[in-house]
This record gives sequence, structure tokens and C-alpha cells, in this order.
Amino acid sequence: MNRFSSKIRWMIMIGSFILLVFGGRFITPSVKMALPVFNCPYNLDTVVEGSCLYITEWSDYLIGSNILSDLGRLFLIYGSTFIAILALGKLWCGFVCPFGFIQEVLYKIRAFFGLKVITFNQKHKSYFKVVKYGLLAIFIIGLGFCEICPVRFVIPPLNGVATNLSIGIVASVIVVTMALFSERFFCRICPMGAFIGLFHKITPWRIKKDCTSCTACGICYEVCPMDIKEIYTERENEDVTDSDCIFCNKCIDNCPEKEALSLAVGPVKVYKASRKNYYNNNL
Amino acid sequence: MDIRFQKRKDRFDRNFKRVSNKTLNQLKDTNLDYHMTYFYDCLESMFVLQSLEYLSNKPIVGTFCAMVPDELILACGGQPVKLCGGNYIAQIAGDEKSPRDSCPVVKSTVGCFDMKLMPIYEQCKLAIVPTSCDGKKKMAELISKYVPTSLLHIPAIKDGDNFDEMTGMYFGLIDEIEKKTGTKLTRSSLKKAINLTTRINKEVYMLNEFKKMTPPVISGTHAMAVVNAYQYSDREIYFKEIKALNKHLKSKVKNEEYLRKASCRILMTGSPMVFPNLKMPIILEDLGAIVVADETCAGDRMLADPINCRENTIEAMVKGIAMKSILPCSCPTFAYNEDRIFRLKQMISEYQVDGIVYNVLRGCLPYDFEVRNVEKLSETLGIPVIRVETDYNTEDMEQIKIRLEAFVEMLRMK
Repeated sequence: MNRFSSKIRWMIMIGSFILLVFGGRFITPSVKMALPVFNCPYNLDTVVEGSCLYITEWSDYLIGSNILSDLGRLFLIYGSTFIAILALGKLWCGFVCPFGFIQEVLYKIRAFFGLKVITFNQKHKSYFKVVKYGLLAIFIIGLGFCEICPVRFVIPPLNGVATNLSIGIVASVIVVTMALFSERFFCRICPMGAFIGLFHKITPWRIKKDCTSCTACGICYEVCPMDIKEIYTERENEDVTDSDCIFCNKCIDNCPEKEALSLAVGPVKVYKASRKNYYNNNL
Repeated sequence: MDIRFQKRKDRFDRNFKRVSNKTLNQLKDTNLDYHMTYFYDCLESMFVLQSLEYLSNKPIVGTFCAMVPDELILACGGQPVKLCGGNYIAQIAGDEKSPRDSCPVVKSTVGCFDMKLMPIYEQCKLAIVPTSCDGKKKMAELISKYVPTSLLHIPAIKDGDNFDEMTGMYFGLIDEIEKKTGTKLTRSSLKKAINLTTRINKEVYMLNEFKKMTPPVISGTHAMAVVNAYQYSDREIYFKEIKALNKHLKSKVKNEEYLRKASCRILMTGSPMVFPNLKMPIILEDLGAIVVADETCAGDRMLADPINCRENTIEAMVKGIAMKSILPCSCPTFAYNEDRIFRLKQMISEYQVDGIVYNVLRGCLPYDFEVRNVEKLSETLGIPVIRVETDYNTEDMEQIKIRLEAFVEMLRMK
């Protein structure tokens, strides 16, 4: 029952963080693939690149270059991105994304020092939505999202790669400080997350809710880093997957009711909430 | 003291003990397990021997309803005790102090305060009254003559964006308790209190698992007595005892020492059933049915829902406590109470219930309103429901027995 519990998630996150950010120092890849995570390809030594650069600068790759000669390489990069999105959906955010990992570590550091959390309500959430889709537009159209990207000043320096200064450093400072005080702050406005979210209806991963079993105790809403209220208020539909959901599975970890929430791949429930699981995580 | 008053008080005292003792003996007659003795003794010392030896030496803070969190009182160095009255004699004593149509819980509580029937009512430093129903609200005014009271505002609907409003009320409560106990609430004491109640909650959950079995290992009446004893005990010792009880029940399951094969599994719901008013479950189990599920607020609901704290700061923990106290609570005092129907539905399937007994205490309007919803639910699920209106008196025992006998007989025929 503990297969997907928080410990496993942390292990995967740490593993992927090391592999994605520092992996290039140990392994020199022969084939380059790209995954839908924020991992800055300004740093060229990575095993698997984040596909953010390829998505936002698609015009350079798909129009500017000689497509036929590069067909194999492009197919690998874009193909792997789309297959990854379709197969795992937003699980990339909760389990793999290195920037997500950095944010969670920052949040833990804050908890260690006992600093106060900044909470947002549903009204703020609607503002974030506007920002998010605005950034997504910039991201997809290719208006140079990298110039304002906060990740560029976090991950490459970690790897010892300098990047030239741009306005992004301001965004970077804001995002990092906010991530200290609000869990996974950048994920609320992340254009890559929004991009994956566009496909969330056709990915097989679902958060399901047994509305009879639910006692509406609000724990899922309280622990949700994305403040998704629907998961708590829903009383009819089984499927409560939201396009904002990053599949961190915290709601399922902390849900005390028997199978009230579960993570499902298609019809198969792979991780179910139970009282036993709740006590494991809370005692 | 006036001699007439003294004589009257003596009479009330005597009868109060008699009524409590009767229920206790009925419990002991049907289950004299060694591991149950702590719970019987706890209730006996409180209601019959009138001593405080089973409580810790900390200042006593009285609570009502399931919405007042024990954790805050424990964290402030107090001893939480439930003040809801369940005794018939206390109800008579409170009759003249409260309106005729008020519910027996209110009457009995007022009676206990007025006649000083139990030492906890005299020793109590503060009584926290949630504004859960009109009866409780006005009762706060009545008992404020005897004890300092503090009102805890309960909203009429469970709504809000991030429950901050709700949390604020509980922060206010902390100040009031701190003043009375003289101990400041700290992060570690709150953490410890939450940890303790979560562990107890886990044991109570396990106890309920034994009731879910077919046939069960423990009967509903005794489980109810165990949960009732929680209110009148030192929580640390209670935890050890209930853990031992669960261990014992586990060994019983291993040896296949189940209870008799009962054909009817009953879900008990409705108005609170506070010890010694275990009239209904005792009658039901006398008739050969078994009360497997219990959705009353003095029983399982009190300890049904666990707390979740986002992190270990006082703010987050108090918020977790506030959320646990209000959001999953299925008390009909909330205007829109769909949650209760969902909970009953879930319990019916989990405990494999055959019939529902809906207990309405005379004068308990919120519960009476919801009978219709429960009847509707029972129609859709095809599970019979019976509404029994009564109060704490023992005169209508026979009539209730006849009605319940017919009900149980009907369930058997099905």
C-alpha cells in the first residue's frame, strides 16, 4: 500500500534531480531525448534535456533548420516529449521535475526555521490562472520565454554553468522567495505545467474519488499545494482530476477514509487512500 | 444549608447512583471480560462512587458536543471532561430550571449543576459550550450561574475559502482555557496532545474494525461504554487500556471466539446517547440483535475523524484541529447536512447493516428534522428504519421493547 507514498516520491525526485541536473558529469549520452520538465538546456551537459527550450523555440528547430537532415534528432526530441506527456501526464511535475524538487526543498527549509506560510484563496487562484495562461501563450508562440524564465538562474548555476544576465533574474528572485513561503509556488503559474495540463483529459492517470466514503473533512484541500478545492467539494463525479493537479499524491497520502481518494491508471487503482496509510503518514 | 434542600439532594444523589449503577450492572451482566474492567471502573468511579480518581490532577475543563477539541485542553494542561448529562434523575432535577420542551440532555446537565450531583460539575473550572443547537445556546446562560462558561461559535454552514474564520474561533478558545488552567500552550505540548489523541483515535478505529466482522467480536453496547469512558478518564491511561483491549480482541479473533451469530445488525443513529442512558442499545441486544454501527455524537462520531496538520507550527495545528472539529462533523445543527447521509450510506455498506434505529430524544429538533432524509435513504437502499422517540425515563421501556421486538422480528423474516 505504501508503493506511492511520500517516501518513494521523494526518492524518485532526488534520483531524477541528480540524474537530470548533474547526470551529464557521469554519463555522456549518445542519443538526446527531451522530457516535459523544467530543466534548463542552457546547461548542455545533461543526459535528458527538459523540452522547454524545444517547445518555446520551436520555430528555430522546425522552420529554421533543415528538417530532413535533422529528422531523426527532432523526432527523438519532440516525439519523446509528446509520448512522455501522453503516457504520464502531470506525473512529471510531481515526481520528476527538478525545479519542483528545488521548490519543495525550499519549502522544507522554511518549515525548519518555522517561518510563516503565505496562503492563497480561490480568488488569488483565479489571478494565477490568468498569469499562467498568459505565460503559456508567450511560451508556445515563442516570444522568448527564456528571457524571463526563473529556472535559468537556478538550475544552470547549480551545475556550475554561468548564464548571461537578463530580466529573468528578477523573476527568479521573486519565484524563489515565494517558493520559500508557499509550497511549489512556481507550479501555480508554470507554463510547462499548463502545457501538459492541456492534454490532461487524454492521459490515463486520474485521481478518483469515492463520494460516499468521503466525509468532507477537507484534509485533501488543506494539503493540496495547488489549492484545488474541487477535490473537497465534489459530491457526484468520480473523476476529480484537475488540469492544475501535479500528482504529488499528498491528498491520497493524508486521506483517512477508505478508498475515498485513489490514483488510477485507466480503470486500475494503483494507490488507494486508507486509514492505515493515513496513520503511517501522520503518526 | 437548608435541611429540606439537603434531604432533597440526598434523595437525588441516591437515585442518581441507583440509575447509573443499573446500567453498569446491565453491561457487566453481558460482558465480564477482564479487559473491560478498566472502562467499567472508570464509569463506576465517576457516576456511582463520585470520586475523581480516574482523572488526572490537572484542572478540569468541561466540554459539550463533539465540536470542542480535547487536544487544546490537553495542550493547555487541563483535563477535558464531557459535561453532557445522561441521567434520568438529573433530568428530573433540571426540569424546573429549564423549559418543558427542552431536551433531556439540557435538562440533565442543568440538573447536575443545580443539585451538584457529580463532583466534576463542582470542580469544573470552565465549561466550553458550542452554539450547536438552541438548547445548548440557552443552556450556556443557565449554567453560567454555576460555572464560568465560554461559548464556541459554530457556523450554520460548513463553508469558507481557507477556513481561517473558523480557526480564529479556536484561537480565541485557547486564550480562555489558558487563563483558567494557568499553563501556556506551546508547540510541543500541542504536538504531544495531538499525537496522543491520534493514537487513541487509531485504537478506536481498530475497535470498530472488530464490530465490522461477521459475526462481531464485541457488541455495540460495550463498545459504546468503552467510548463513553474516554470522556471521564486520564487520556494516557485510557490509551494503554484500550490498546490492551484491542490486543485481547485480536486474540479472540484468532481463537474464533465470536459473539453469538446475530441475524440482525443494527445501525444506531440519532440524538446523543450519553452514559448511563444506554437504554436503546441494551434493549436491542437483549432482543438478540447486535448494534454494530453507532453514529451518535457521544459515541463513535466523537473519535471518528483524525486530525491532519500540514506542519508543526501552532497555526497549522490549530487549523487542523478546527477543521477536524467542524468539517467532517455530521451533526444536524448544520443547515445543509448532506454529509450525514453520505456517512450513513458508507456505514451501512461497511458494517453490513440490516436495519437502522433512529433515536430521537424528546425535544431534540435538529435530529427530528433529519428523520425524513434518513427515511428517504432507507427507501433507496431497501433497509428498514424505525424512529423511536423517548427521553431518559425508564417507564416507557416496555413500550419501546415491544416496538423494537417487532422491528427485529421483521428484520429476521426478511
